[in-house]
Amino acid sequence: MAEKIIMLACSAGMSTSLLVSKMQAAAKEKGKDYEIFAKSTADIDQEFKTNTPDVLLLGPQVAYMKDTVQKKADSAGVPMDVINMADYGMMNGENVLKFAEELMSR
Amino acid sequence: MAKSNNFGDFINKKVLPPIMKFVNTKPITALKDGMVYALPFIIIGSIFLILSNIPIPAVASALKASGWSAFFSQAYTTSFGFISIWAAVGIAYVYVRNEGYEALPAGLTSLSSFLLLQFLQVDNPLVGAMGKSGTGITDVAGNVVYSGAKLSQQIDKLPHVVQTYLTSPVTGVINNTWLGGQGMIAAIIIGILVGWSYSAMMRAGWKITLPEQVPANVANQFTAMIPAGVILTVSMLIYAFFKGVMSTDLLQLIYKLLQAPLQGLSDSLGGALIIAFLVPFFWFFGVHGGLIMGAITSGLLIPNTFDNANLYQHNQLSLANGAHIVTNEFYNNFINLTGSGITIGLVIFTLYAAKSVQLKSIGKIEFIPALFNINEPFLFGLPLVMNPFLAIPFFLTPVIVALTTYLVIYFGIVPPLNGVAAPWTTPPIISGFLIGGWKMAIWQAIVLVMSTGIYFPFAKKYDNYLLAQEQEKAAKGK
Repeated sequence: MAEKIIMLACSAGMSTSLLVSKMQAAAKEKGKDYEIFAKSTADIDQEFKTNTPDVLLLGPQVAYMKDTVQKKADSAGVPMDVINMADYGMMNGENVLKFAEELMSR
Repeated sequence: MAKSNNFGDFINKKVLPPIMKFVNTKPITALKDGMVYALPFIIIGSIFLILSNIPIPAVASALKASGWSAFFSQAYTTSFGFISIWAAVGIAYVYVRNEGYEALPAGLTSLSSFLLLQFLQVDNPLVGAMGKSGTGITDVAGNVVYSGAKLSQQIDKLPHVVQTYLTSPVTGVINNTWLGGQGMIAAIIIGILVGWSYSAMMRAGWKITLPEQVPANVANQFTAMIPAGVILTVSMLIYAFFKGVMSTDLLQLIYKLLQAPLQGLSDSLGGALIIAFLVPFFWFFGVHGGLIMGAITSGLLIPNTFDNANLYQHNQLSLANGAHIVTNEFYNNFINLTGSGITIGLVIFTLYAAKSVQLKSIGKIEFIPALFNINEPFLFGLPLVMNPFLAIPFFLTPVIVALTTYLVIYFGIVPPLNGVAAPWTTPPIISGFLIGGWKMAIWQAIVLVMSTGIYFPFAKKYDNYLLAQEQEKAAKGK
């Protein structure tokens, strides 16, 4: 069982899965045991029930759904935020991982 | 910069919020996510469609003679061919699931209502075969062995009552026509209405509540009964109204009044250009344009694809026979080729011609995703979002590609798309071959070259700008 579960969500979970592999590499380097995965925003409800992630990160391309997702996340008690555009674009796994850790420790 | 910022503010504060509100409404969310359930059937069905109609004549006739062609057709018809069923079930299912209720009963209620609202009959095959313009009687290979005119002559000799009886519609069947593309808009409307009304009734507590001693499994079976009963009763009354008063059914009415005109609009040059323009337009403001336009247009473009698939299956694919130019593949595999904005040209620039560190490093990140039509690294990393340097080619490329692709099909230089659906992540040229044969594959290659040509000068300017910035920073660092 991983220490923490980090969930990313974008439109289909495709482009975000690129970032996931970068984040996994960054976590491994730091010696952290995280489960990191990407899903479509449509799967958020389901994942909250089954996988109970410790944090949810939203891709910037679906930032327009933030309000709806925020409500779901609040009621599930999962911290969430939108990933910084530049970090997302440059696929900067390290920065996004740091961002996730900050959200979890809040 | 100041000017474009004002414009950006205006779009961000005045134009986008209502659009986003619309896109985030429950019906549109249900439509977008519900259609996802149809996708596997469309793509698997496409494989059977190719197999039943392999574009190599010798292989095709061998398959036909051996009877396998018909088996493949059967599999195609019951997957891709039943696309409206998947839509009706999927949309109502997602709607109710998002409202937090057990959703499968709602999906099934939607299917039941969708079937209830149509005539369960098909035209008698004699009607289509008779007369000068009739198809006549054909053998297995499709050759006419008895002409329509001769057939009419024979039928005309019979007593009038027998004639009427022979040509009356066949009842006790489900008409495949309405389960396919023609029933699509009706399926979407019914799916949304059933999802909405089912959720509303659940919320209002319209359910049979059994005493606590009754096991939960047994009690659950009764939960759906009242909402389903109400929805089906209302559907039946609607059916009775249209049948009794207008001798038609809701599906035919929706098709004639709504779907056919809208499909025509989506299939026009203007429609293609607007769709092509709006994808980068939304993306420019950081919003997933591909997703939004896909949600709005798929209800029309998928039936367009379906019509072409049907023509292809019967070896009649041509514009003269009513094939559409703008189908869902026109959208997936041309307007969004290598990612929104058709950014392959930028990939090539960053890999071979870029001098700034930023462009060089991001080109390496984007290269592989671009082959699978994903370009978020570019959209956010270059970035393309809110970037005035690259705005012109970003908006222009999809529009020019849509225009030229429309024209090459229109003038018959390239045949119409064959209705095969490739997943949107299928790499360019391969997808072109699948959705339209080798000529389409070559045209896709030309599109990639066009993108390179359009982006190059603008990318060069941006690269110089970044390079100057980097050098300035380096100078300061020293």
